[in-house]
Amino acid sequence: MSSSALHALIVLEAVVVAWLLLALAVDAVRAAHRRRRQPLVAAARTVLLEAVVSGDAGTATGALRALPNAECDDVLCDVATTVESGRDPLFEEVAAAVGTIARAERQLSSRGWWVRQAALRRLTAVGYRSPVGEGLLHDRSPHVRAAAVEWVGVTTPAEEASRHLVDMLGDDAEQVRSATKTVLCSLGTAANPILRTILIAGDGRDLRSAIEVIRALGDPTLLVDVRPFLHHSDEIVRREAILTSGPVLTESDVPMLSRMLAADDVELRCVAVEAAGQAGLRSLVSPIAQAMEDPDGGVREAAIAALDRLGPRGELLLARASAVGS
Amino acid sequence: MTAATVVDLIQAFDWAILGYFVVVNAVQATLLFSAALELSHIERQALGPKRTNVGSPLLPRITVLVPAYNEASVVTETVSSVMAIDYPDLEVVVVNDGSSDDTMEVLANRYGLVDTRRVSAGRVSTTRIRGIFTSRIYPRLLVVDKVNGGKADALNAAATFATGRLVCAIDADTVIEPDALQRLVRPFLDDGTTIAAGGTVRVANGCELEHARVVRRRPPTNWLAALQAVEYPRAFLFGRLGWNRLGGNVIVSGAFGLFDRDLVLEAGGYADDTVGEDMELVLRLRKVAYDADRPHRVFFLPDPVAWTEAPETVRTLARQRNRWQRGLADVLWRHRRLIGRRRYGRMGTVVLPYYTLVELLAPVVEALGLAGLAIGLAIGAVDVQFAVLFGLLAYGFGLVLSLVALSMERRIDPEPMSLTDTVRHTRWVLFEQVGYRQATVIWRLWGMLSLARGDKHWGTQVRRGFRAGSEAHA
Repeated sequence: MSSSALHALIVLEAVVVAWLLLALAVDAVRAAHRRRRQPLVAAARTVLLEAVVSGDAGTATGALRALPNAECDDVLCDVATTVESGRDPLFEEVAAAVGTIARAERQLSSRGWWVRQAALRRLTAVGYRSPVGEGLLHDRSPHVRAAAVEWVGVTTPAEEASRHLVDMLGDDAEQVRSATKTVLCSLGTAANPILRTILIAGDGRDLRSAIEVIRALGDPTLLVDVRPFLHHSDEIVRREAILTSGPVLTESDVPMLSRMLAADDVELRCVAVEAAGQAGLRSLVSPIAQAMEDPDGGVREAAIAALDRLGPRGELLLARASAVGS
Repeated sequence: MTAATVVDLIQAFDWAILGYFVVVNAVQATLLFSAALELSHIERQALGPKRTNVGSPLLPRITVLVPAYNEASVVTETVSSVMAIDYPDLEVVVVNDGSSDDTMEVLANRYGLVDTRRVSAGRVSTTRIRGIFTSRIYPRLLVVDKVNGGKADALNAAATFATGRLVCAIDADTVIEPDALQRLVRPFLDDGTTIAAGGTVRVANGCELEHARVVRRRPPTNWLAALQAVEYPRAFLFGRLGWNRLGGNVIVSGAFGLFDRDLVLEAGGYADDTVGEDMELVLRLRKVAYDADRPHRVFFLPDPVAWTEAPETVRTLARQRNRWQRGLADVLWRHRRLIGRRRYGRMGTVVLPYYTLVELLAPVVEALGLAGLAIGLAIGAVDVQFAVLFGLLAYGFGLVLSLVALSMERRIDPEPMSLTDTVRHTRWVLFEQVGYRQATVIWRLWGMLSLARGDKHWGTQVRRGFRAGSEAHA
């Protein structure tokens, strides 16, 4: 490498360093400017919180209008998210008055997925139901779809929300499925019809997700509906079904569970032990106790947890295990 | 051997070192570019107000593992700060690792401990458990009293009795922001293949704290801590962000990390015979996942932050860097069979070779390079002007990397430093490459020599403790 090349590179580095230092300085100045506005922002936040109590949207609107648009939106949405997750109509009223809703709706058609996502989140925060929002459930970006799922969960009546979300349980993106499951859990029994629909017609990812939600909700009427999937062809669906229907298993399921407890598949044994513990059937105590000797540590742990749930007989077996130092 | 031959050899050697320098910095530049893209992506995802999943039955339980050895004076503070973490389904398991002081008595008195029975599945062996206790006051607190076995052994005991799907190991002297776990759990919710996630560890020296929370970030007043404060973003933040995008994260900081508990126990828990246990665990977890053909990822999040105290004396810092290098060398040696193996994907073919050739050997090459340069200059084999220019080029490149890393850190900081503090903080970048870096090279070399002699001790760190806003800032 010649000296002139080195010189050129050094000059280039010097320019880059100078630019970086300048950028840091500019950012520090902007941060200082934001900090100087902090009292105004804090005051607007306080007024908005008071408005939630008093119902005085006008004063809150006035305080927020004193802020730049971006900060106005941030304060409004931050308070709404913290206080009521957008379910207080006051937030929607104030958001409409200060232009938050209008700005967010314009951004729903932005080319940048992060802009659409942020806009959806603001509409979620203030609880505004935009006619455009539902279309974003099929957006090409998984981040936007996940935000749309949350938005539907907050702004749409429960039965309608669960109908909109029926397709999202089978979405390709895990974050979308995760968001959908969370929203369905929050809907409670309102999600039951749609979960039943998926149990009847679903397959693959949406079926697995639906069973997982049913397990989380713990509704006995739904748990019973999962029983037919104990023999499903999909291995993962079968395992989810076993785990989910634990509390509603009966003596007639004991032979099936006993076979699973002796299966070669470690995960199946683990799930079977957990389900057996939830079932609480006396005839399963011995098989569960035997699982404490399983070569796999996860199965042994599941067996210990299962015995813990089984009352005096289980406690006795655990006490014996403790005494021999296992 | 003639003088001309010697000169040729020295020149060839110096060119080789130069080539190494170019390759290493090309890799660093690639990581930097990758980190910038990743940070941009993460920032975009975070735009807009966030609804949390608080209260969702789908949120996994997290167990925080707290090993304690002779910490009677600080253990309740540590436990209280952990229990103040804002996470809906949190369990805390404290392990008294055979303390010779009254750590156990302090815990019993403060938390109303009562005997309980828990049976271990024996997934990981530990030293003898003397007793297990629950708290009458805090139902989610479990205390395990055991015979001394070291930090890793204590963590394993805690993980054994944890009931959370995820476990978080923290250092006793690390302060975690209250909502850090809510953020750190997101990679597990968004992607079921996540097996471990780590957050950022930052230097707390000089910061103002209230109730164990950093309320104002300020640069350290101690010169050594200040140098580390500009080093950490380059060394940790942009490197790990860069590896995120490349799928190559193999370190989750021992000070603050979240792991799949089942996989940790399946992999055998923390290794108790290495000082590089954080990297060793992640490598082992990834190996287990690769061997099982299980899709997996280790994720680094820049925004959940843990604050830790950086050493403020040369002696303590030297020991720390010695230990880090020993840990790195030991871990790479243990897992040498993974290096270069396609079976282990990008970890085997890219990441581990990088850590071996760059992170591990860099101090050796740098030391040899400086020595070769000095000899070359002395015997006239190296052109002085070229050496000076190249030195400036290297210095400048280091400056660029450090300033970019500081800019990244600033972008994710919700409360950036003031202009005055920014100037005070940034000026140390100019001095980091001159003297400090060379000192770390010596300490790291010393670490490798120590490992070669069989030294596997942690050593001690003198800690001043966090003080709420008490450092004087002129």
